[in-house]
Formats: sequence, structure tokens, C-alpha cells
Amino acid sequence: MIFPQSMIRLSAVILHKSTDAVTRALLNAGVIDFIDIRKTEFSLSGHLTAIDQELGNSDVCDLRNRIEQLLKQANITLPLTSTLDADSLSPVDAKQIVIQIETITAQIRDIRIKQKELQHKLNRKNEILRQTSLFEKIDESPPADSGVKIRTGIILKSRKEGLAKALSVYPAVIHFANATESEFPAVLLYMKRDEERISPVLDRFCWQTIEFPSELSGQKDQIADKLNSEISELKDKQKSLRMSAENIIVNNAPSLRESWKNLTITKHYIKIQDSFGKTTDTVLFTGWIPRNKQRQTEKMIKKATAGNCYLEWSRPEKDSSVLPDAIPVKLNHGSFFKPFQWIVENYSLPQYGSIDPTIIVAISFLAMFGLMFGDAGHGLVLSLAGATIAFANGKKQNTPFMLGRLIFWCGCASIITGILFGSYFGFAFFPPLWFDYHGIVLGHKGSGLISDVYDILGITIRFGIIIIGSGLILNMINRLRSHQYLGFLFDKGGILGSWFYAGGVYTAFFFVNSNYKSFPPAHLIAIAIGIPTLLFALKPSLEFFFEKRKEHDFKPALLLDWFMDWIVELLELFSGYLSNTLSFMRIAGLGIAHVSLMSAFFQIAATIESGFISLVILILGNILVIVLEGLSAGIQSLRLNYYEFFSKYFRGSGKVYQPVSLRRK
Amino acid sequence: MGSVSNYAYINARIHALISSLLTEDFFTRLSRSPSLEEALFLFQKTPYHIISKIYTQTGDLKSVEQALTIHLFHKTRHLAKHAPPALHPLISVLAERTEYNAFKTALRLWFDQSFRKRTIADYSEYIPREIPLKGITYDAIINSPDTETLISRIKTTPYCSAIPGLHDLKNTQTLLASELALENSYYHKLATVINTFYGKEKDRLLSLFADEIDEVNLSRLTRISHLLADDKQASLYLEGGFRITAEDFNPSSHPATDEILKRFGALQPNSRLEKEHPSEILSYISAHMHRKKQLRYVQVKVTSLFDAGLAFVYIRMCENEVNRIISALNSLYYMIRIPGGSE
Repeated sequence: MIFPQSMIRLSAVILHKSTDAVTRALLNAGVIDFIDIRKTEFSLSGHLTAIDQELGNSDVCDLRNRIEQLLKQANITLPLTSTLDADSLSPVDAKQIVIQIETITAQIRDIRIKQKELQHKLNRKNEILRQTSLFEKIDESPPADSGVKIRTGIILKSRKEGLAKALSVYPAVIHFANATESEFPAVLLYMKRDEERISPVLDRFCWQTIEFPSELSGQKDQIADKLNSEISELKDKQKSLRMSAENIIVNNAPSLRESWKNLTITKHYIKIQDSFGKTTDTVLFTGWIPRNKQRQTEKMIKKATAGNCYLEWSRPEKDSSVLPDAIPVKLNHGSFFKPFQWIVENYSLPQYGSIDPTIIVAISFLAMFGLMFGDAGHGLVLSLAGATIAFANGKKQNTPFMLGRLIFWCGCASIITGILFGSYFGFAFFPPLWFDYHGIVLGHKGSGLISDVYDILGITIRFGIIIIGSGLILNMINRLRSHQYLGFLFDKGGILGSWFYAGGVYTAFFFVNSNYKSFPPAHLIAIAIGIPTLLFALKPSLEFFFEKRKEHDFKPALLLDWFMDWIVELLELFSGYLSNTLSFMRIAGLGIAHVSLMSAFFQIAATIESGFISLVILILGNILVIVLEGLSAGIQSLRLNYYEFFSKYFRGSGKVYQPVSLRRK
Repeated sequence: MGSVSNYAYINARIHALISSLLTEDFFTRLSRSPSLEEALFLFQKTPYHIISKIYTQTGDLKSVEQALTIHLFHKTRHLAKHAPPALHPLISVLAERTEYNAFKTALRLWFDQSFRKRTIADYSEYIPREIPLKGITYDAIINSPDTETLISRIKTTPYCSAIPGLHDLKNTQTLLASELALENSYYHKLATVINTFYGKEKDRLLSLFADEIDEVNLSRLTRISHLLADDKQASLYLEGGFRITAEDFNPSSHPATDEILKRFGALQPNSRLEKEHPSEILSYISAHMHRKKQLRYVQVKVTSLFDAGLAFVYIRMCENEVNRIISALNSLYYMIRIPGGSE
């Protein structure tokens, strides 16, 4: 838990005939983070060759993406990769899949052509409707810049249908009034630009132009209704065409989904085999596995090869040629710690073998947040908000989901500190279990150990010392584990640095406890600060003799360099530790700001006579404090962890553990 | 002008907007799409997601192009809303190119209908009516019964520079003169606005302007000059560029291909273009200039912290993006349709 999961490297030799079975078994197990064996020490001086693949990974990915796009067009969900089984893999018939996709797209394209023609008709109807809307009455002459022409006339009953049909191909609308015995008076609207095409049509159907018939006067609404109904009819047809395009995909969906599944497995299968290397009779591969999966993997490979395999397991701790940065890192924490693991990973992944700070971050982050945002009521609101966000994004397991969970736990921390400080939405409904934060900030003398604001500042500084001290201890552990003994002794975060820091802390507390009047006795200062200060002078020379001597010769001028290094390091050490420690006072600062803001809103509310308005001010004030202070406290907690804590020990050069697995996103 | 208070907000906003522009990788994927349908699907997670929907609803690529043009117009208008007053005239003029293009489209439709007596029924619906013209409507242009009416309608508008070309329409039977005059008028307007700036800010804008004018002049020199009589070629030259001079439009001193390539920094050893068609030279140089422009945009993005250069670059990048999308979709559309034959 405090270190990343232990890894072990597997190097295997199998027979050609077992390649397929082993690949499938490895894919189903999904635990190996493969290394391309042809680029390792097992490359046999370049004699290993790649496994022949019928299809390249990019071909498979292309086909898979094309199917994915088609399915998504029809809103068809893709199968979950975690449900796939490598044993169901069958040879990919790429030609057949391409033919299927091309057939589907060709069918859809034919529909699109029909849609396009329909859209033209629709556009024309819309155009004439738009033009018609430009004048008030139908018997009015259209405006000069209008593109519409209006003609009135009579048409024989027997020719009515024929004329209407002939005109339907143009952006035109014809409206018939009540018929006389043998004729219909009619009004025709069409685009001026179609005059040359429409006039012959009218002549063919023996259209007789007449003066505007009184019965058609003012029937603009009916004409508009007619146009609208024609438009809506065309839209319905358009919609049904669109649906039929979707239906083509829906009808093909079962086979497309099957192809997609097979391609997905194939993609992973090829990815595994891409890292293999072969000789005349054998196949070799290598990769990293979590140590707890070693036995299971060994059993599985032996089963797939019927025992005809050679497996070699090497532990990185025993192989000095393996650099820690080359070993994949897997952080493995329970559900509670996942949001804090997310915080750590957002900074960087710890180097393999170094401390994984997730658990410590969980404790320190929540403690910092609680101290800055100590109100049980506000904490409850945050918890509910966080739980809602997490619940809403539960299925996606995405960033908002993690953030929601983090907010939930921060809210819980605030509830606890709120109870300790006796603060519930700024009210003191119950007596504090620790001290009255509000009372002290507002100037009331507290009882017990915490009696004024300086005591609160003191708590946060002590808290900072604990955090920085923990960082120094963790750094020393990291140094020892990686056999960096010089660093362990002389690093700023090593024995000497810690000694110096502890000496500084002792001296500072002695000075404060003496009411800023005296320092510790000289011999104690010499032990606490003087000795480490002098010992630091040895660091550059020791580094030279143990680490750099092979690269550079000794020159007398180096003595001056070492002296300067010593002075600069001391300055950095002093100013760095001082500012890092005092930086934790921001915890008190934000806590005090929280209380001050709340009391400001209480005072504003108290000056207003109307109880309702006072209540509104208090509610708005609480909302503002929750949002503003919640955000500030979150950011400051993150900053203190990332900058003051991580900088003491964290080595973020880890490489993510990425096994080839169907269950991985 | 040029102060932090003027540009801090708008340039921060533009920086954010630039990051949402489509990447080169996207355009590579777009051009490699096996079909138009699949290409349009790529836009689903981009600011252009609407075009995929439009295509599936209409099956009509022209509707998609119309939507893209309108999208571009709204994008630049939105930027103007957030710009400080000092930047308004420049953004307005930069954005006006879309409006001038829409005017030209309407003019061409009128020309087709009135002069060539062709039907425009299938084209007039695609006029981007959401882009308003100044002092005239699209209908008034398209439905003008004759040239005189059209001239009388546009003479009080900013597009009146097209009028001399229209007067001569019966002889020339082409809108070329009007379109060139409109283009000239647009760039004069832009130059006037740029000249209201001072110091380094003006220098930067003039340099960006010069790049644009060079491309316009090159296009006119290679594509249009041979269509005009010798004595009229000089009128094609537009001032403001560095690489093409007025002298180059003199038929007796047209620069050689190598010389053009050299001036644009596109001369390659063993250049194959010596004997190629002018349009090939143009597209070769355009591609080269596009790459150079990308580099220049990156440079402006980094250095133009508090001046108007960034707005200039952003608007042109948006136009470029929309033009690239339209041409990529069209090439996919025709690639699919032409070999089929039966379609």
C-alpha cells in the first residue's frame, strides 16, 4: 500500500505451434505489460524476427472505426470490451467486412441522393412561402424586389388535377376557389425566374387569364396554409428517408457488432504478437506482471503450451541493470483512496520502488481541508453535492466522478472539524468538542490550550512541521531503498537536512517560549545547527570523490566551487525550510477568513429589521462562503501537498502499467 | 491602442478560441475518410457538429456549405461583441469578407438568370440570407429585371464599386471586372482601417496584410492576367504587397516561374514546375504559403500579446478552416460520385 505494487518480469520461450494458444491465453488474462523483445537484451543480436500478420494493426483499427461510426450514426451502443473472450476470435475476413461497409454506405448514399432532391423541393416551397410573407394581401401587387409573380385565371374542371401535377415540380403554389359549373377560378404564385417555363405549362392546360376574382381576394392565409401543409408533407417524407437510412444500419447491426467484437479482439491479439520475436522454431516474448499474478500466469502459459515452454522470472530488485524508470507502476488502493490516488496521479506517477504517497495524501489533504473549512453545516452541503456529482457520473467513472467523491470526503472532513469547533452554518448549536474557533477569531478569550488567534497559527505551524518532517522521513526511506547513501546522508532532505531542520525548529520554539527574549544555550545551538552546517561543507567534495571523479580531474579551482556550493546550499536550506513551514499558516489564514466572512454576513443580517431579508442574506452568505471558501480550501490543500510535501521526497518518473487486456479502457 | 487594458481580455479569449480550431491531424483524417458520410461523422465532437446533422437530415452538401458560411459569420460577429471599441472597425472589416462573398454570389445568380438566361432555382435557396448585406437585400439583387435597375439599387451601397463593370456588361459578358472591383474595394477598406493604428501594432498588421495582398496579386497574375488585353493587365495590380510588383503585370516583364517561386521562398532544387500550368504553380505556392502562414500564425500567437495582430490572424484562420472543410467535403463527394457513373 505504501509502495507501488511489486512487479516481476517474465521472459518466455515457446514453440511456434503454441503461439496462437498462448496469445489468446495472455489476452484473456490481460496482466502483461509487454516489451518489444526485439528491442531488448533478448534480441539475439537482431536474429529475432517479427511474427507475420495477415492484417496490420492500422488496417484492423480502420475497419473497427468505420463500423463504430456506422453504429453510432444509428445510435447503436457498442458491446462492452470486458465481455469479450479471446477464445471466440476467428480469422478476420477484411474483404468481406469492407464489402459490407461499402454496401451499407452505398445504400445510404442512394437515400441521401433522394433526400437531396426532396430538399430541393422543400427549399423551393420555403422560398415561395418566404416571398409570399413579404406582402400583406394576395391581391396586392408584390413589392418591386420580390421574386414572386401572381397570376389569376380560370381552368376547366377536367384539367385541374393535371395542371396541379405539372406545376408541382416548380416552386409554385396554385389555389382554386369554388368551382362554377365547369371551371375553377384560381390564383397561381410562382417565382418570376420560372416565367419562361411556367407559361408554356399554363398554355398547355388552356389557362385563361382573368382579372383578380373577388372570391380569391384576401385568401393569403389559405395559400400560406396550403404551402405549409405541402412543406410539412415534404418534411415527413424527408424524415422517413432519414429513418430508412438509419434502418439500413439497424438491419445490419447484428453482423456489424459481431465484426466489431472480432476486430477488437484481433486488435489486441495483434498488439500482443507485435511485441513477440521468433526464431526458426521458437517464439520469445517478455513483459512486466504484478508479482501476485506470477503463479496464475505461469500456470496459464504452461497449460496453453502443454508444458513445452521455458519461463524466466526476474525481480527488478535483484537486477541492477534494470532502471527503476523502465519498470511500470501500478498503484492499487481501495475505493476510499481512489480520489486521492487520482490527486497523486495528476501530479505524476511515483517511480517504481519509491513511496506511493496516496494514503498520506488522503490524511493530510482531508486534515488541511477540514482545518480551513471547519463547519459541520457547510461540510454537510459539500458532502451532499459531492455525492450527487459522483452518483450522476457513477457509470462513466470519469473526472467528475472522482471529483464528486473527493468533494464528498472533503465535506465529511469539514463535518468532523465543524463538530470539534462547534460551528453549524456559523451558529453554535452545540458546544465545541475542541475549541471555539468563531469565538477566538472574534476576540473572545478561549479556555484551555487554544486561547487566541496566535494559538491557532501555532497549531497550523506544528501541523506543517509534522507534514514536512514526514516528507523528510519518506525521502530518507526512498534514498535507502534506492541505495543512494550519499544522498541519504547529505541531501537537503537527508539526515543532515533533517538534523538542520529539527535544530531550527527547536531553536525557533525555544525563542518563542521565552517570549522572544532568548535563544538556546550556545552549545545546544552548535549541536543543533552548527554541526550540520559544517558537515554540509563536505557534501560537494564527497560527491566529487564518489560520483564525479571519473568524469573530471581535480583542480584547485574546484575548492572555490565547493565553497560557493556550500554557501548557496545553506542559504537555500534556511530560506526553503523557513518559507515551507510558514506556508502552512495559510491553513489558519483561510480558517480565519471563513469565520470572518460568516460573521460579516451575521452582522449585515443583524442590522436589517426585516426577518425575511435577514434570512435571505444569511442563506446567500452561506452559499457564497461554501462556494468561495470551498474552492479556496481545496486549491490550498492541493498546493500544500504538491509543493510543500511532494517536493521533499516525491519522484514522479513512473511509467504507467499498461497490460494488453480486453478489460482495460 | 495597443494597451494591455484594450487587449488583455479579447486576446485571452482569442487564445482560448484558437485552441478549439481543428488540427492538422483532423484534416489528415478528414481527407483519408473513405466516404463523405464517414467524413461528416468526424465532425461530431467538433464545433461543427451541426453539419453532420444537417447532412443526415437533407442529404444535401450545399446546405452543409451554407451552414458553414453562416457559422463563420456568427463566429466573427460573436468576436466583435467581446472586442474593445478600438478593435471594432478592424474586426468588422475583416469579417466583411464573408459579406462581400455573399454579395458576389447574389450578383452571379442575377447574372446567370438575367444574362445567361439560366435557371437558378437550385441555387438561390443557398444564399446565406442570415448574413445581412448593407443597404440592399438579396432579393433586390437577384430579382432586378435589368442591369439599370440593379445599378440603381446598388449605387448607394458599399458595393457600388461593382457598377463600372456592370455598365460594360453587354460588351464583356462577364462579371470579372465587377468582382475585381469589389475585391479591390474590400482591400482598400481594410488598408484604411489598418492605417488608423500606430507603431509596431500597425507594422504587424501591415505585414499580415501584405501577405494576403501578395497571394491576391499572385492569383491575379497567374490566373487572370492572360484573360485581359495587354493594356488592361496593369489594372489588376493591388497595392500593399511585397513580393509581386506593379511591373510584374506588364506583359513584357511577367516574372518567370522560378522567379515567382524564389520571391515566395518556395524554390526547390530541381523544381519540376518550370513547364507546368499556371494553376499548378499557384496551388504549389498556395500550399507553401499555407505552411508559412501556419508558422506565422504560431509566431503571432506567441508574440501578439496585446495588439490587434491576434484578431487578424484568428479571423483569417477561421475563414481558412471553413474553406478547407468545404473543399475537403466537396472532393470527397465528387470522388465518390464520379467513378460510380450511374449515380
